[in-house]
Order: sequence, then C-alpha cells, then structure tokens
Amino acid sequence: MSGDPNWNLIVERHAERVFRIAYRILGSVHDAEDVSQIVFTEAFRVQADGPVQSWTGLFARLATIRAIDHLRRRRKTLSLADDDRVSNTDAHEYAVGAELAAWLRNAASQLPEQQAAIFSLTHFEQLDRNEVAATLNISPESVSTALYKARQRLREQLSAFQGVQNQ
Amino acid sequence: MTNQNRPFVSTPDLDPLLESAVWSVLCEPIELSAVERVKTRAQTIPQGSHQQVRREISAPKRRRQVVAIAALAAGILLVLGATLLSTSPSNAFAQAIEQLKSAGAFRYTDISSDGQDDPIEAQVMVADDGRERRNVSGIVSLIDSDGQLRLTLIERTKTALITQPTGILHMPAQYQLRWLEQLKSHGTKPDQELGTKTLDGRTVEGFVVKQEGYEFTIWVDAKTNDLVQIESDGMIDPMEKVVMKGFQFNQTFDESLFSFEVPNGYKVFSTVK
Repeated sequence: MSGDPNWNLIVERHAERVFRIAYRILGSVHDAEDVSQIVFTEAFRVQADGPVQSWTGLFARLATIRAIDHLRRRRKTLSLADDDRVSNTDAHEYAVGAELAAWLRNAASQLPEQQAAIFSLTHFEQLDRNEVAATLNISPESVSTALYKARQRLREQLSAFQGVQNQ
Repeated sequence: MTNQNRPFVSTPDLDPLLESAVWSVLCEPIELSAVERVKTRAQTIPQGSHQQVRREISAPKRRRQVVAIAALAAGILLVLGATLLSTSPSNAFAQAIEQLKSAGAFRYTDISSDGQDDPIEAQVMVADDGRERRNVSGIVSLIDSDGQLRLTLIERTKTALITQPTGILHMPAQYQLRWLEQLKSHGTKPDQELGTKTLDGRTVEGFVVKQEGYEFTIWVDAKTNDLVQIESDGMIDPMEKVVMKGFQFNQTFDESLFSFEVPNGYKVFSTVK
C-alpha cells in the first residue's frame, strides 16, 4: 500500500470526502453509503495492483464515476410515482430547493459520463479546472470543453423544466 | 484538493436558476453518522480481501469427500507403513499431514503480509463443521461452512455488520480453509525436503508441497513431528505471504463463539437489501 501503509488511516482521511461526493450526486444517504463501500473496495483492489500516486485523486474519481453509474441505474428504475413526486411543485422554499436538487441530479445523470463527472467535481466538489483534470487524468482543455457542453445541455433542460413547472 | 473549507462561490458561467440548483445540492447537510458508518464498513475491507485469498472450493460436500478419502488413505497408511513412520524426515511430514486430517475443531494464528504494510494477524478458530471465527484486532468475522461471511463484529464500536449472499456488496463465495483441503489431498510424500532449522526455539524439518498450482512450505517439529508452521504465497496477490502457526488441534469450543446471532448491545448494520 504505497504512500500510506495504514488502510484504516486512509479510510479515516477519505471517508467523508467519498461519502460527500457520492451524496451530492445521489441525494440519498443509503445509496451514498453503498457507493462509498464500493469505492473503498475498488480502491483497495487498485492499491493491491500497484502503488497509488494520489489517494485523493483516486477516491474523487472513483466516487464520482461510481455515483454517476449508480444514479443512472437508479434513474432507469424510477417508478412513475417517483417521477410524479419529483414534478410536484410546492410553494415552500425548502421543497423548491429539494426539487431543484432532485432535478439537477436527474439531469446530470443524463449527461455523457465524462461531462457528468466534470460538472459534479466542478460544482459539487468545487474543484478548479486543473484539479478536475488531474483527478480524471485528462487535459485542462478537455475539462473546459466538457464543462461548457455540460452547462449548455443543463441550461436547455432547465428551460424545459421551467416550462413544465410554469404550466 | 478538497472543498471542505471552501465557501460556495457564485459562478458567473451558470444561469441563476442552474446556480440555485447547484446551491440546493450543496446546502443539503452531510450526515456525519453516515460517514462513520462508511468508515466502519470500509475498515473491514482488508479482512474481506484476505478472506478472498483462500476461497473458491464450494465446501461441505467436497470437504466430506476429501475427509472420507483422507480417512481411507490414513487407514491404508496405518496398515502398510506403521513401522516406517518413526524414522525418516518424510515420515515427520506424513504425521503432520495426518494431524491436519484428524484435526477436528482447531485454532491457529494466520499472519498475512504484503511486504509493505504491517502484517495482519488473525486468530482463527475452526469448528468441526467448518464454520470459522477470525479475530483481527478486535474485528471478528464469522464465516459459515459454505465459506460465506455472515457476520462481522467490531468490538471497539460495538457494531455488527450482517452480510448475506443476496446483498449488493456480497463478495464471491469464499473458502478460508482451501489450504487445508489442498494439504489433505496432497498425500503423504512431500515434493521437496528442506532440511532442518531452528524456528521459535524448536528444531524443525521443512517440506515443500505443490498442489493445484500453489506451493506450501511446512515446518514440522523434528522431535515430536507436530506441525509447527505453514507458509504460502497469497492466492490472489502473489506478493502476499501467509504464515499459519500456533496450531492447536481437537479443541472444544463454546458453540456461542460461532453463532451468527448479533450479541446484545451491538448496533446492527446490514447489507441485505
């Protein structure tokens, strides 16, 4: 286990971040816990294959990608009742915020995987362009391009969502 | 690279409503108890990984067959070779294998090391029906006779993790005692003799056993022919070294040590969906 030889210490250092990333994307404590466990299991296997250069980067990447995977699978199995609940407006500010958050997660899950990951790391985890690039092992330029496309697509979807809400 | 201490900064690239949606996500509080549960579960992963090292044979049926064959082999050995079993080094090996074949309930210490981390030491108890109880630094795993991890008890936090084969995080069927089956089925002649050395103050004779693609080094007390130590490479991670020692055979264990019931006073988490 390169860099840090103590697995418990690694877990202690990174658990909150892994859970937070998963929770921001998924919006469900239960699902975020499951994804976190998957991430740690996968990370443990990764380190068994060779030295890990950056645990922070590895966990951010795994948590983001696995949470998006999970979100997509969950979206496919959403029941009609769930969809109705999401689109049911409520004047209460908290309900509006919750609905916006639910909308954003649902919309992000429909983005291409890399765009979703970049959007999540940029806005949910608030990493800058170079940090996102390092985490996903891509160029900063690719981050900018993908982020631009992701925002554009989300804007379009949000306009449609607003139209439905205002009807 | 973390956002923990960064305040949310308005992003001019985002439309106000999209920014509101992002803000809504970020405003949702992180449940710290959930983070603690994540830590607790994640800290059991190395143990699960080591359990995975020696798994695969689906257990009791094959085990009974092997035991029957072993018993037959032992009987034949008894008739044909009783007089030879007191002199040559390979007889010491044969007697050590015989100890394993008639082990009954037993206990031993399992030390795993990948050469980089501190070794992981497990105190292992094996019931005569194949159930196992492994204790690593106060984390107790209870494994059924099919090799499935059923219950993990974390003594420090009084936490119990129930695992079922149908759970999303279920690991493949595991079989901790694969090494035992392999050695039992090897026969009574080693593939190589290593000579003698001193180990933990005892003069021991070494033997190499190659079985099903795996290699074991067995050290046997030169005076008593008792099994002293078994060494092998990890079965998944070849960098891992496993040492098993401190064998005590034909033990009588309290049945409660192998119970899959959660003890009183433990918080229960389950991976059962």
